[in-house]
Amino acid sequence: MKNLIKILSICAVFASCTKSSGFLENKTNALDETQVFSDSLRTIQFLNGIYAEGTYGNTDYAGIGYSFNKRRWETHGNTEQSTDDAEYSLSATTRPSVMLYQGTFSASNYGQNPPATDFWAIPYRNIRRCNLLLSKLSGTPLSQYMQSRIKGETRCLRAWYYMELLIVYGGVPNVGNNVYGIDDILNIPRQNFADLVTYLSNELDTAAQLLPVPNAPFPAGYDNLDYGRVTKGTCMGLKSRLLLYAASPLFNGEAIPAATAEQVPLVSYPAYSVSRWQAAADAALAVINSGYYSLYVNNTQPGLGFYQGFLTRVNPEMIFGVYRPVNKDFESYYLPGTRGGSNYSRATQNIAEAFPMKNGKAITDPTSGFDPNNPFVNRDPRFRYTIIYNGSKYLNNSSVQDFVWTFTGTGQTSDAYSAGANTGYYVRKMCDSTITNSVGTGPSRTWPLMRYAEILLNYAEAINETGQTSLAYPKLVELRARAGIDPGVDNLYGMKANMTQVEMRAFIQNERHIELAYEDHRWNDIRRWKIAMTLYNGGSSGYNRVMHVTRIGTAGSLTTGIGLTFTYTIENTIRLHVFRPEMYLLPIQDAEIRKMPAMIQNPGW
Amino acid sequence: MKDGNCDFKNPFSLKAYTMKKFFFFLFAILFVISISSFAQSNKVTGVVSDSSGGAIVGASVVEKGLPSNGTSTNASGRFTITLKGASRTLLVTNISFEPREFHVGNATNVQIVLKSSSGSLADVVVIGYGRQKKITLTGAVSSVSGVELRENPTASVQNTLAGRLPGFFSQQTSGRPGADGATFYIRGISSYNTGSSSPLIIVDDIEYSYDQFSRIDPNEIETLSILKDASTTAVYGVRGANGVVVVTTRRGKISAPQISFRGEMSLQQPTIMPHFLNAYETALLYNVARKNDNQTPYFSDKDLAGYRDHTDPYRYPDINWREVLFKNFSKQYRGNFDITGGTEKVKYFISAGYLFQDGMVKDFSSRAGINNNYYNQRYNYRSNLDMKVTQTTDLRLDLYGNISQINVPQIGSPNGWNDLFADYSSFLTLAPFAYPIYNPDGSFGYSKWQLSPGTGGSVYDVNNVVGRLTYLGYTRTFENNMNLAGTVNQRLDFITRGLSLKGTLSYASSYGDPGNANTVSMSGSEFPSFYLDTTTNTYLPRSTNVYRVRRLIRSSSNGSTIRNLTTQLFLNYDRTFGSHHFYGLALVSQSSVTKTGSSAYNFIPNNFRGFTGRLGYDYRQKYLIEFNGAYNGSDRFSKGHRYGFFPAGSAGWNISEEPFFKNNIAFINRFKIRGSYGLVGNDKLGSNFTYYYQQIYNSGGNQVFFGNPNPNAASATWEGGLGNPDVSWEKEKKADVAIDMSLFKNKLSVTVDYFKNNRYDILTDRSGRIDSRFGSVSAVFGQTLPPVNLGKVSNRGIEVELNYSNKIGKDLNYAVKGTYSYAKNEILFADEPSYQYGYQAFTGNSINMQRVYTWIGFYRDSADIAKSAKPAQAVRPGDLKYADLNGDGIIDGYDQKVQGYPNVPNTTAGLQLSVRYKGFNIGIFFQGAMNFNVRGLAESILAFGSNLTSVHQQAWTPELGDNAKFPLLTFLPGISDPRGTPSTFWLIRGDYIRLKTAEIGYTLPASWVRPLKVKSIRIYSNGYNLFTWTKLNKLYQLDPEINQGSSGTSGTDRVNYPPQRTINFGLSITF
Repeated sequence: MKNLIKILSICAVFASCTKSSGFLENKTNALDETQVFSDSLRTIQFLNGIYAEGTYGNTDYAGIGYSFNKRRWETHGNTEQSTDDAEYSLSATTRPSVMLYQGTFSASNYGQNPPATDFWAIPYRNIRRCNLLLSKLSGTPLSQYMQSRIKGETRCLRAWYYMELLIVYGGVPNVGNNVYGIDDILNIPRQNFADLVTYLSNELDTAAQLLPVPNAPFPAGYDNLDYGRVTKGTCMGLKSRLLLYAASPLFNGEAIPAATAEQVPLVSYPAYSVSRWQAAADAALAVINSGYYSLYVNNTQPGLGFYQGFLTRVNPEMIFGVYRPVNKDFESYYLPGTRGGSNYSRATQNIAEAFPMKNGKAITDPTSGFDPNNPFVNRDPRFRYTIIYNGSKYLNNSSVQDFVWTFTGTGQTSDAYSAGANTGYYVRKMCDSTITNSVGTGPSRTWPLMRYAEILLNYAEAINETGQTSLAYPKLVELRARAGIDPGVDNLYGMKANMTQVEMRAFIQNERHIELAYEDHRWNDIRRWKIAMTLYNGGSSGYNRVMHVTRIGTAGSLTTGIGLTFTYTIENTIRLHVFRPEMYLLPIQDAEIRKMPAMIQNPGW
Repeated sequence: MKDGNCDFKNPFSLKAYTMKKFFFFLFAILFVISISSFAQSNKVTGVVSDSSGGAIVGASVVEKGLPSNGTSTNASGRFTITLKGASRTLLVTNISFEPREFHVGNATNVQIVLKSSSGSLADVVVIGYGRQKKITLTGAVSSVSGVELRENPTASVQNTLAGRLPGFFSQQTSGRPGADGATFYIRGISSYNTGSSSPLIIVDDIEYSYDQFSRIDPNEIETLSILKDASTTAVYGVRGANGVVVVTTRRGKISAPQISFRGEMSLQQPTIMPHFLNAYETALLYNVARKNDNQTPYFSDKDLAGYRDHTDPYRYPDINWREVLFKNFSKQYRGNFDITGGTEKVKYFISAGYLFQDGMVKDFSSRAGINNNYYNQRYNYRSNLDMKVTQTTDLRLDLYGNISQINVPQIGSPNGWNDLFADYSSFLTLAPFAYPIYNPDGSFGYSKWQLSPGTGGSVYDVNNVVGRLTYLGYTRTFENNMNLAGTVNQRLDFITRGLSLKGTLSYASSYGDPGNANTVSMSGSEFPSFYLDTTTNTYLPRSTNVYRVRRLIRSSSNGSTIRNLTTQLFLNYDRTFGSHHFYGLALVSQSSVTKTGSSAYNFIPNNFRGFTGRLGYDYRQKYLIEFNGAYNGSDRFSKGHRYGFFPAGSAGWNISEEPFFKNNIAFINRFKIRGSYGLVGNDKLGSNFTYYYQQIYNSGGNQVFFGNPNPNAASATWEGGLGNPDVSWEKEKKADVAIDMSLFKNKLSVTVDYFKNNRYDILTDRSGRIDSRFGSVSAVFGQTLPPVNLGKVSNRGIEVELNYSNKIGKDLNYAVKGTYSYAKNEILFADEPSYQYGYQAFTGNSINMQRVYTWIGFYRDSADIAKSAKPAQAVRPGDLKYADLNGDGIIDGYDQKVQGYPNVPNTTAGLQLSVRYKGFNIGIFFQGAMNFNVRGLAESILAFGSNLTSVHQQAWTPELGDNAKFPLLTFLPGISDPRGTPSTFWLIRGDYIRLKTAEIGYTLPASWVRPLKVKSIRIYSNGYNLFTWTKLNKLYQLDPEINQGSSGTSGTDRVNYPPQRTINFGLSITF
């Protein structure tokens, strides 16, 4: 009996451990779909997630979905390093930037490590988020007004992500408003280029109707706390960009020669039409005429406005941006080693040469006054605000405005030119020269995704292509005046009067190159203008050029900069760029085509 | 809690309640124990057990000199005999054990331990939730004794097992103190799902993690078994598919207190450490590469002469970094102390262990008043108590754990590696001419080279390495594992004989596991160093605004605790009716693991519940049959998909027990055939999921910063991967057939197993996020898909174990043991896109084979280039040439083929030879592995990424042609780059043979030690990883077991802390 009691008590102890209701039930208190969309704050946070791109917990990558991020791939690297604007400090053959300039990017190797997924997967991920939000919006407790505004924001952002795809691939699968579930089998063909442009253009028109006017006071406009969300102006600006892309040589009836009859409508309009240029010009003009935006002008020093705009949070020029808190994003990325930066991306001689003189004349113009033995003086003010060259002044880590020396020779620093590595230049644009990456507090600055200067250039480019070259002049004058270029006697700011359409085209391409440098336009522009082949496949120009400054002797003072003598040698880098005709559009990843065989690959891949 | 009621909704209070009550119960029993008095009597009762304490049933007990006065032991090993003669001695015999004469003296209650007779078939083996005689075993189990494990001086217990246990595959990828435990698999890998191939580890019925396992002190281990087939793993049901490691610890025996002490001192050095070329040789090759790239030479003739002649070591440093940074030998100390003994009432085994494993780095940091060398310091403790509470009630109470401290220097290596060995292998960080260590004035040296190193960029501009080792501090990780387990065993013979009830409750608390470490760091930052400006001949600071050494700053991160509460309730039955032996087990077990996780899962318990049954029968140990099954539930799956049934059946036939066999084939003592078949499961899917069926929305603060004029930080929320309510676990059908034989008077024993495992329903993420190789749903879907049960893998192989032991003369014993294991897997189905070219598919190949180009030689000259298939980028003579598999004339991604071998060997073998002569013993043990590939990239092989080795001196030149051992030296990443274009050129077979351990020992004669009041003294020396012969050195100077990246397919990108060769000296004293 005693035994039995004991045994029963043991059993009881164990039974009490085993018996518990819901031992295997879910015990998380995690958010789920119902919680998110039945709460107005969480619904807005879901929308924020599309703006922030869901790289939760990794601030390095925040905003990656906008593609502008300098840390687009791994912690460094973006498309600018695959163009003539910049040399990449790293050279491993698996980095997407390197694969792009080496021409080794293919459907089957697709930036494997690190993956270049953001060309394809990240846009679709965000498009799904937009669709999910749109599908849930009517069930949320938000007011009608807020629902309509969020609908506008979401549709605008969705169009943005489609445009990211369109400029890289041409027509892509359009998932419409679908939010797929785990039982859906996806095999969606690519939408024709023309239809996708129409779809996006209509979407942007609709979104514009739903969104407030920029700078409109609350409650008709955004509350101050919401400053930075997309507006009606953003939609109009995006439409201008979309129609300009669509009218460009790459898509406007000049499909890549290798395209088959099946591919042509997917990657372009089958036939050229000048009316597309007109539509692009009209869209740009609509933004200009709206009066929502203006250039950020400050010519207390020539061109200072051009420079400061990038350091200023609230800014009449900004149409769409990634609004950041106090940060040193660009200082850490671009600055030379002596300023604590990583200079992943280093400026080239190619872009240095693209800047005219302060009188507005190209340096190739014999009357420009350019002196190859003193190449950095009297240049377009934007030159010194975009590029750090030998003898530029920049705050040093001891908080003194001091010279950056890129020369080789006596007294050279770690910033010195080095074959295959330092180019002799660094990037200053968007960096605050009153701080370094080691010293001082960064500005609360915005990454410019789209600004008014681009709209002016869009208009000039489009209107010139319609044959109305003279209409391009006033917009370019406006830009150049803000840049701090001398007006000249003819008030043309160094522009040649009465340019032909061809001359004007080249001029605008150059102006766009320097005005929008390092803002994630160049790689798209050289493809849509179809000039990449000429840039990179003409013999030695397959190499970017760099500036090797050599100090002669030891005379002079490195502290005052007085009495130094230099020679200037332009050299090729050692990294060959290869561009082949099919690279005007990137291949769709082979595995993706295998997964959705209804998609047709891009021509030549 | 006050009123004593359990709150069942709250798991924490439930636990607290149960624990409290349970221990009250235990202690109450303890106090009741009384000690019986002694008296001379003719009636003697006793227990006969084996060396591990297991009762021996049916042993014959006969009084010496009176053969008619005998009895045999009952189901619990007990006997009663009334002595009639004067010898007061018992003769105890049983099959499989050495006969023993036992002098009873005046005792009335005796404990008689029988030693196993030679031949492994005789042993009792530990299996899941019990032990079995090997003779009646029908499952596939391999065991190794703690004694054998203790012959190996390595710090992590799993490093001792490779080659000793057939079916055990392992790779020791690092020798870093505190992180040198090998990863291991039982019968290879059966799932391509990363993170799901690791076996279950059970120590005294409690589940252990890999890290806990590697911190066990081998001195505490009694036996270690691996369970390999369905019949032995089915009892673990949903967790058994990867095989199970079962460890039992040492327990007390009836004896006077016996005190043992072991002290060991070891010297360690790396198995291999790359020898890099000196400054002159490196500079020459640097110029060659410049020339190949049409660049002017970087080093002038004067420079080269400087490096060659060492006339100006400040301007032309030539540093052998290996000598500068690393010791020739690092030390390891190990000590154990244990007390064991007991009476019939209480038996105890109490031990304490200490391990100190020092690192390879020379001491620089004592200058800064700290110790930042790598080290691992560990204290282990264990107290195993067995108490006999009543005649039918046993109580076990085990308290054990370890406290460890692991130190790692902060190095500030480039790329955030924080690994001195990465610095050592990196050309851009530590070229032989990088900088002089000290300047003439004693300050730290630096150089212009390092300020702007070649093509490396500022990433590699890291300060003087000796300075970094002196001033940058350390990170110290603290761990504290504490476990408490209590077991009550109640024999229920009064209900029916052979029945017993056992309950186990264990609580494990592990603080600061590596996944969530509890660390204290002392971190330095900048310190001044100066470089020689060669043009002005002046010394300049590396960084103009660093004037002094910054002080060390302490920081700490608090880890968290993993709590694991396991309860088990067993009903055991074991009874023999004449020739019929029945046994059975019914078990309810549940465990609850609580640990930190992602925000949604933080400290949410991970619960598991299982019901296990076993039924066995044998007839005269001749016909054997057993059924095992488990009905398990795991909370990782949705309701309705939580529980599964995992049955297995096995049978055996001891043919040698048949008269026709026994009478005719005399030289075979045992011949058993056995087989098993059954189903087991696996519920692991790596760390990516907790509840597989649930979709979680994540949110994060400070994600968007709208606002005018000031940024307004706001949160964001995202949809997480979709959930799949129908998901279930991976399943595996395991089949095993085997022969167990012992021959020539049990001197030779042979076991041969053939197995075939079919894993199916492999958890697969169809969007390819977890493994980009698999998944067939386009990214256009826009979200991660939940795991579904899809894939199929077959894994088959063969295992052989041979043991031979014999005597020459009276004193010379020798034994030979050989093992051979082969396990080859094949992916039968995986969710892959249908590739244009079949050779690109992973399906049909072994898991973790790599998709690489096929190397067919070098491009010879421009004519050869013109007529060969080429990649998009420019190629030059001396570049690697690849096969154009799809024949389109272009070398691109479509020419990559899944080929070669995986990174884990599919064959492993061991050979152990041991000789014992009087007090001497000598043992050597060779281990080898075959059929696996190693691939290096970046800092492990790439010229000028890695420092240069002799293989780079044989880089391609027109003269060398196809005899070259390395492609053209260059700074331009191209087609020959091992990172961008992995090819069979870089894929080298790592097959190796190692002298894994060797031991020589001498036990001092009893006559010498008796005057010292010591029972025995043994001195010994043993070694680990003593010699290695490998095919890998054709290209790499790496250890063949080198780390191969997370999924085993990315290759090794640098040298890391190499596995160590250990030479150990030890002394063991028993009082």
